[in-house]
Amino acid sequence: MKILIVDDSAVMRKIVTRALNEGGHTDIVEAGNGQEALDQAGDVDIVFTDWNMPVMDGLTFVKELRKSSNVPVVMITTEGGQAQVLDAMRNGVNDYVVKPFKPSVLLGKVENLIK
Amino acid sequence: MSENIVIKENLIQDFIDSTSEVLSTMAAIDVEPKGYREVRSDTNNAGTTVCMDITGVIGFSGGRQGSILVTLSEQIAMSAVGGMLGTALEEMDADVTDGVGELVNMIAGGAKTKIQQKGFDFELSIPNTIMGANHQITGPAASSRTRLDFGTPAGDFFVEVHLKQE
Repeated sequence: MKILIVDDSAVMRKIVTRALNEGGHTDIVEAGNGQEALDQAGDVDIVFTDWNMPVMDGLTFVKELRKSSNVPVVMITTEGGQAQVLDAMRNGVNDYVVKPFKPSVLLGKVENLIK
Repeated sequence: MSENIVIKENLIQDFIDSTSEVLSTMAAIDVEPKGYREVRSDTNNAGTTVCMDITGVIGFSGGRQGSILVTLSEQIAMSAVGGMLGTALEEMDADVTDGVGELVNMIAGGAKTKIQQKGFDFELSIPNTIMGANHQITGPAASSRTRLDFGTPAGDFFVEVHLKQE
C-alpha cells in the first residue's frame, strides 16, 4: 500500500511517517503542499494531508484531487471545530485527525479506510 | 482601555489545557502550569516580550487580532521536538525550528477549538520561528499580553497571548 503524506512541516511528515512505519506501512511518498501533492497522488492508496499550508492548502488540494480521483483522504488538522470538519467532509475528505494525536490513531484510520 | 478578554472570559484555562495536551500527547512531556500574569502596554508604548532561546509565533485575525507565542530554552526545545520525533536531539537543527513552529500551531489550534465553543472565532496564520538568546518581540501599542508560565522536567517555558485592544 502506497501512502502520500502532505504537510509543509518536515517534522510533522516525519511524525506521521514514523507512526505509519510502526504499523508496517513503509511505501510512503511526501509532498510539502497541495500543489506538489497533486503531482504525486496518481498512484497512491491513501492520502494524509494537513489543512493550513502555503501555496495550496489542504482543502483546495482535496477539491482539485476529487476532479480525477476517489482515493481516500484523511485530513490532519488543528482545526477541530465542527464547522471546519463538516466543510472538509462536504468537499471530499473521508476522515480527519485532530492534532495532537497518538500514533495509534493514524493506524486506526488506515485500517478503517482499507476495509 | 477595554478589559482583557483572555482573562475576562476565562480563556486562560483553554490555553493551559491545550499546551498541556500538545506536550503530553506529542512529546510525552508532563507540563505543570505555574500561573499567569497580565502585562499591558498603553496607547503610546508598545509592549515588548523578552523571550528565551527559540520562539514559535502565530498570528490570528477575524473577531479579534493578535498573536500567540511559545518561547523555550534550547534544552526544552530539543527535548520537546525530540519527543515528537522519538529520537534524542543534541543540536538546534532545522527539525527543532520546524518543530517549535508546529508546537505553537498545535497549541493555538487546540485553544481555538475550545474557544470556538464559547462563541469566539478567529483565523490562524502560518507559524513562524525566531531564534536567538533573549530575543525580543514587540507587539502593537494598546494591547494586552497574558503570560502563562509552565514547568517541565527540563525547565520552565512560557506561552503568551497578545491581544490588540478594539
